[in-house]
Amino acid sequence: MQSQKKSLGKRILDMVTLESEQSWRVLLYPGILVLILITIVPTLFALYISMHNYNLAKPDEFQFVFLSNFLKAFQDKRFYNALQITAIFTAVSLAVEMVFGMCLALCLSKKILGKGILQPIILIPMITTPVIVGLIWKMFYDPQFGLLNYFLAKMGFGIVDMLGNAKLALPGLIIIDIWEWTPYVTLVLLAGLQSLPTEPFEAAKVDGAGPMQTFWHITVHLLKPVIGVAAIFRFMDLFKWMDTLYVVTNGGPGSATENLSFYTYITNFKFLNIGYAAAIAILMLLIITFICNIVGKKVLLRGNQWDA
Amino acid sequence: MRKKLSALGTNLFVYLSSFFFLFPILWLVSTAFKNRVDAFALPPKWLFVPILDNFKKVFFAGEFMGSYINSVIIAVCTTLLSLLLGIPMAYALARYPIKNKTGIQMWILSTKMAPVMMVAIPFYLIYREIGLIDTYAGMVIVYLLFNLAFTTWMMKGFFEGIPVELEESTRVEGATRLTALFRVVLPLTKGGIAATGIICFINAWNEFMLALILTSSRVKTTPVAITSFISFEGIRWGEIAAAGVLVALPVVVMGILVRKHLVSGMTMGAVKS
Repeated sequence: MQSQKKSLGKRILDMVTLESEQSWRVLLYPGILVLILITIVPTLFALYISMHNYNLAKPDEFQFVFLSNFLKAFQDKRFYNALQITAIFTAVSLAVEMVFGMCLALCLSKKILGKGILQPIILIPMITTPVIVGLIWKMFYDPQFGLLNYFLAKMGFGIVDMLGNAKLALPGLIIIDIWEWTPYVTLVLLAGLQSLPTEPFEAAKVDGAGPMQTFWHITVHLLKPVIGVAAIFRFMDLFKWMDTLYVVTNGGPGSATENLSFYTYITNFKFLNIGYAAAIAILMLLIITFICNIVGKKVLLRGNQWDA
Repeated sequence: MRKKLSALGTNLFVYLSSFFFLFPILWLVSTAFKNRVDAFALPPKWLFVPILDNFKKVFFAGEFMGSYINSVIIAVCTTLLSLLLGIPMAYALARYPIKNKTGIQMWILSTKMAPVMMVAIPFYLIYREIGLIDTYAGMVIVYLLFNLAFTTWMMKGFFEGIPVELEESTRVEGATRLTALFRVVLPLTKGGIAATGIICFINAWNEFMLALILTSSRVKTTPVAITSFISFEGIRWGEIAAAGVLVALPVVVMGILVRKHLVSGMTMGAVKS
């Protein structure tokens, strides 16, 4: 009641000195406004474009086609190819990174000689500029001068052109991603492991549980929220993966490593078919949102500080 | 005996994995200091006379150092703006009763989910119309998109870690909440602000696709410049490696400095280390 009697000047003063209950508006709105401008506006624009036949090579033929760009995707073999490659790449990388990351995190939570030095070393791959990562591995895989072929030759194999072979290029990329991002999973899970209570483990020991039993029934069980967070963040990045791929294989050979992001990129900037590219991008967003809503919300909103 | 064996196995596994993660980096760094003959020597030479020729060539390769400065300008501006807008948002979300707070927070978070191309296409078309292609302002605006959500989430966590009583006691002494924010809360979260800022910087520095699409020559960043460097230099690995070291070094050093906060930073505060 009192606040209504205050003069306008006093109310403004309260607002900017953050004394008023409503002061959050002053703090929150500028950022929200910027976020709206740089997210919602472009999204709506992309939606608008996706419903038009818009080709930069033929800008005069701009016309409303409603959903036909989306329907086109469902009949486009190259779209299905990209979808398949994205699915394989995401599933295999995610599985290996989670398992490898978990093993490494478990080991690092034990006594290890020189742990203080090993931890910073392990995080280097994930903070190294992705383009540089691509560059290192491209040289590594080089059929003529690369180290990989040197080692393979030593072991008695012939020359393998990892990135030039349609069957090997995708596994080659998966190895790069495993190298680059397993450290991320390791560090997240390690943080989780270190915050676990010790009582359940002691109780299990008293009950005579073996190491495997303890791992499955206690560690994994207690760590579920953290495992979920690591998996969902990796999933989001893997699904839209693009930069290292662009440097290393550029979608090739042929379209053997052309994932959805890359297909959208060339549809837009090489074929200049902007309407169709926007439609694919929106389909990608829908898939990510769908999966994150099903899996993500459950994982993210449970057992952590997210819902204030 | 069994215990000793398992401890040995654990150590071995960690050392082998660390070697796997470190080896490519070591190889890049050593290649950067090799002459052309040594760079291609197989088996790789680990003992050689280090030379600085590659770095000199990169420094004088005109375009590359220009892009380095562009990267610094864009990353610094993005970081400062993210903090400037994100800190107040985080403080509001941490301290004030706001209707539908969870909804707002989830929306802020969802801005991170968008595929790069979903962002790149509309921004490319809009920027072409309003003349923001290949400008610092254009790049900073689009990078805010990824960093603002992150800054807000991360700083919110730091603010929530500070007991409200500390502000209250300052206010009892007659200071306004604004004064308390500047005198008490922000100094206490200094470390958090620094870590958040550094992770913003790393994000902006490492970004590639948007820079590739939205810049052409004037404000080209290093990740983009280095790809053209590759095709231009062809097979001169020494120089490519030297450029690679120059690009990756600052962010690797910064990342190691803030490694304590890296985990919570890269999970939007969902996991604390």
